[in-house]
Amino acid sequence: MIEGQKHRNGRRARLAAFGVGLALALALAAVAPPALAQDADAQRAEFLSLYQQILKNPTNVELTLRYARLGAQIGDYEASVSALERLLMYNPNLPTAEIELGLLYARLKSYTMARVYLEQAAAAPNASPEIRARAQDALAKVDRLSSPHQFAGEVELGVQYQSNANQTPGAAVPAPPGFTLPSIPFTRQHDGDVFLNAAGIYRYDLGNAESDTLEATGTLYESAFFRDSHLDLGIAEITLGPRLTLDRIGIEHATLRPYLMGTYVTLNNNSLLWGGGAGIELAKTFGWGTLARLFYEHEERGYFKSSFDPLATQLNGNVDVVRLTASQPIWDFSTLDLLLRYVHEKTRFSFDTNNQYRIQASYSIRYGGLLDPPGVARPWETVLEVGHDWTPYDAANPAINPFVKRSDRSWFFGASEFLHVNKWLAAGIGIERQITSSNLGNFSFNNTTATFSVKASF
Amino acid sequence: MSARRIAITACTAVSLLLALPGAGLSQTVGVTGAVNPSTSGTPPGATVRELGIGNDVVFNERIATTATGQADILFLDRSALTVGPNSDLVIDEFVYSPDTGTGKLAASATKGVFRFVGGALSKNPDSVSIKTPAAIVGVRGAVVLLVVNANGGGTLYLLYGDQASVSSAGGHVDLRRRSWAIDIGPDGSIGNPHPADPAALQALLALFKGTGNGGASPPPTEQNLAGGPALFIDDDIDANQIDLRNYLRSLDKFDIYLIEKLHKTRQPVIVICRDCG
Repeated sequence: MIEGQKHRNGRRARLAAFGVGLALALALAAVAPPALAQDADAQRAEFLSLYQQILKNPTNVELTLRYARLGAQIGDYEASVSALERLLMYNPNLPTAEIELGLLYARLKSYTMARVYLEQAAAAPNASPEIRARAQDALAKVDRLSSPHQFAGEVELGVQYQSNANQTPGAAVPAPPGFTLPSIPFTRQHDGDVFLNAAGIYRYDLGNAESDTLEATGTLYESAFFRDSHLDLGIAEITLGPRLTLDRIGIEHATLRPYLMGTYVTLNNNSLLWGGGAGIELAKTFGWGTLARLFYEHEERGYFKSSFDPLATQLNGNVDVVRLTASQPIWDFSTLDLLLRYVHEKTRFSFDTNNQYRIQASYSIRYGGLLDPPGVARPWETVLEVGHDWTPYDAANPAINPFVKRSDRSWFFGASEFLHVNKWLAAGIGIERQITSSNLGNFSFNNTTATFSVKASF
Repeated sequence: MSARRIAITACTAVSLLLALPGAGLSQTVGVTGAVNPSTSGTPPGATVRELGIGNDVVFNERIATTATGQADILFLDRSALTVGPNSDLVIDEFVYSPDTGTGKLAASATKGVFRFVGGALSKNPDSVSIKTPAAIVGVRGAVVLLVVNANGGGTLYLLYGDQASVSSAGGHVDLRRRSWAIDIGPDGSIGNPHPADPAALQALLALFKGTGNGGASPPPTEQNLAGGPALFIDDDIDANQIDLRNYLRSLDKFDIYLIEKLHKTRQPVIVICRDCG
């Protein structure tokens, strides 16, 4: 009776926490946009009105500049190009107009055009030293961005504290009928660790008319625990494959990427598993700015026996993953990310074979406030996350309970706050709560993680 | 009905007709936003006129420039067509519905250099086309440069945007890569897309720089522009790097927990197995 009530209370608490988290995320997502939508409508109306005024008075420089500026703000870049080019018909010696055109074309990834205008601005006899310096600086960036070799990445280094670092159940394992279970050797243990979480991408432009590229990605995670090195985890993953544009078959702003992938994981500084497989990704950017990516991956996995887990090879098998992600910018300072994922993990024994279904959402918003570092617009970033996993197993494990097939459910809640010190560096704190319940009590556990980290983006 | 009443009715009807968009006999498609002499316009059925700044450009009007002539036509849909020196072009068709942003813009270019900057119409497929002696150029949400040689051949440059295309008896080729070009042979043969030659682009852009004051009096000066706020800050270019960052495969921390969970919680099970076995 008391156990049942505790269970109900725990469930209520979890649902309440979920409700609060979701309400916060939705409130933040919902409050800002209506006001901004009005601003956008007003900007659009002003933009159209300006054009009508320009039709009546095309040589009005002030109108033309306002129109160009507003065009860039609302994403009508052609309007900005047209307005600035017209100024050069009135007077060909306007290095300011040329540098703006160069920067505009650079932002639009038309680098040859950008270079032409920037070089003209830098060489103009009447260019001010500031204009020349800006042009030279932009030319250096254009050279870097127009190189066929492109790199980008993120490196996060931090410390974190986990309330249940070994993720053991808080309650005693219920013994199935007819079985006498030994006591679990592990007890719940809090611990802290230093971690490194890094991801990089290298893209090589194949130089064809379709803008196809060859793309390699790398991911690395390493953690070192302060008290119990058995918990140290290392994960490395690489993928390699071409990214082919689909405009050639009439699908605009879409790419297809077949790739090979490899995974290597260590636990307690010993090899735990390796994986090798292939995947295919379909990515498409929609007109309203959504980047949607659909993945299918198949990976064969082999485990290494160790004194820590001498039966690890019974997990040998393969993993199939179908993943859909969507990233929706909401204005220029917030993003809503959604994830739907299905994972089928097939192992040697059906009681280890499972399906995992995940739904996850996160919302990040950038804003300015107190203690803003100079030169950084909207340096503060709040990220809220919520996710749910359901993992049913294919068969009952006779060693645990021969009559009950394991089924786990997990809720994830996360909130973090980052301060962007400059374009490349941010520092932040975060807290995550993971609540996992299983119909087999020895797989239920809760864990709270508090993190402080520094993140570099390049 | 008295003659006076008939006259009033007729005048009212004509006024109403003229007030309807596109109902005028010589439908206005836009105005000249910049003009350097000598540039002439020939409306259909009318005599040649010297174009000046702010003149209406009408449907089926022929625009021709001399060696120093230039004209920038601002269309009602916010498209802009710049006609370079020694060029000849006719606005064949212009239909635009401001409410839906749909319609059609078609022109014929017989010689010269042209720059087209898309407006509302070009955002729709198959809505903007420029006919040359050897081929038809289509523009979709783009900024293009078009060179039409005296022999009818030419080159199409995609400066920015989604797509430009060339169609002729020789086939159809799409151009989707910015700062790339397609050559068109006088016989309609279409070459493969290739990177634009920067020197050629520079020379072409020079043809669109004002040979005079473009009709602006006084013309804008560098001081006028330099005093105002910058339209774009050069740091914006770095945003291109963020586009690439969107394709990172970052590890989700919840996935890390799951991997930890699988193996950290697995150990008791192994112990149970052993003892049970």
